[in-house]
Amino acid sequence: MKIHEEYELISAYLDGELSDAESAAVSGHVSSCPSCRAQFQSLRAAKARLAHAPRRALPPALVGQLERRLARPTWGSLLERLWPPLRVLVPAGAFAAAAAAAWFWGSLRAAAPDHAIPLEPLLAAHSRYTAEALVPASELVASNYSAQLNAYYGDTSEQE
Amino acid sequence: MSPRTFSSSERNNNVGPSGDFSELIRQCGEKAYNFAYRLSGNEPDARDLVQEAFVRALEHFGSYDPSRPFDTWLYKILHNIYLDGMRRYAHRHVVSMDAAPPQADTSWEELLPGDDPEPGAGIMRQQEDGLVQAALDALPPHYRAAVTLCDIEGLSYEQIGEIMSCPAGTVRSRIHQGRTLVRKILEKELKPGEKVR
Repeated sequence: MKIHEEYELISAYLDGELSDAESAAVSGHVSSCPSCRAQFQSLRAAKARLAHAPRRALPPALVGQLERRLARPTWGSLLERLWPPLRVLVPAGAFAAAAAAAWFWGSLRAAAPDHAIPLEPLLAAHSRYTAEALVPASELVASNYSAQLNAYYGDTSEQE
Repeated sequence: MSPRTFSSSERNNNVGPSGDFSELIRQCGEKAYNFAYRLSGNEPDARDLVQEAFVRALEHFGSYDPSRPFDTWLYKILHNIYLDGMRRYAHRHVVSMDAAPPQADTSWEELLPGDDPEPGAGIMRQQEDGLVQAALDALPPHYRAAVTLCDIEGLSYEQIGEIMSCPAGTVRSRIHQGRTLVRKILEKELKPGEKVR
């Protein structure tokens, strides 16, 4: 045991924190080594002075302040007090909110007009327009075109 | 408002809250205040530390293990608050290593004549208290806490390790280093605040 290099052992010995074997080794070494004995004695004196330092009494004013402050509810204690009812109310409230949202969304869908554009007539009109576009522009007459449009819308209304 | 009482499940087997706040303060307040005073070196900071420690202890009472001593848990909270404060202070200030250590405030109770039959002994005690505190103030915070808990509060290495959140080997090293520095200061080998090897 390198006690010279590990004066910590002497401190631990003073504090009663060594095993029986370690204590015996340190004790034997300290009694035979003047350097370690001096170290032991000075550390023991320092420990004793610290241990006998006057203790501070708790100021009476601080006791009153503590009692008043601790009697005041803190956020933690408030949460602790409110948690049992909240444990039931929070999931119930969340369920009710979800149900209300679902009902509202459903009622909106029911009331909304059907603005869906019929896809098939639209594609048919597009094909027709593409074919018509192959006709030379000089042969296009506005009145004919209007008639074609009327015919087209008439066709689509019939399909619906 | 009447003080809150602790339920039987919250009671501690060793030292702990066994009644109301007054009982809790009576059981642990003085120990906490002594520890806070030796850490901070002055009365106002010690008061603040103790108040904050009790408030946090009650806020986080759910995380307290009733099989462990309540005062150890309170020391741990107090020590953490102290270290947080030190870190914040160090972050905002440049601390001179050559500056004299802060002097402890003296309360009116100490200045007023007491019922001590030997006033000289009282003065000696005050001087000794001042010397010990000056030596502790000169230590780095971790050494100061370890030495205070071991030599002044009389806790075991295991308890100190729990409070300071470090293994027993680190506790042993900090206590030895701190105690060696205290010895040197008290034996006038070093002046308080002087840089040590």
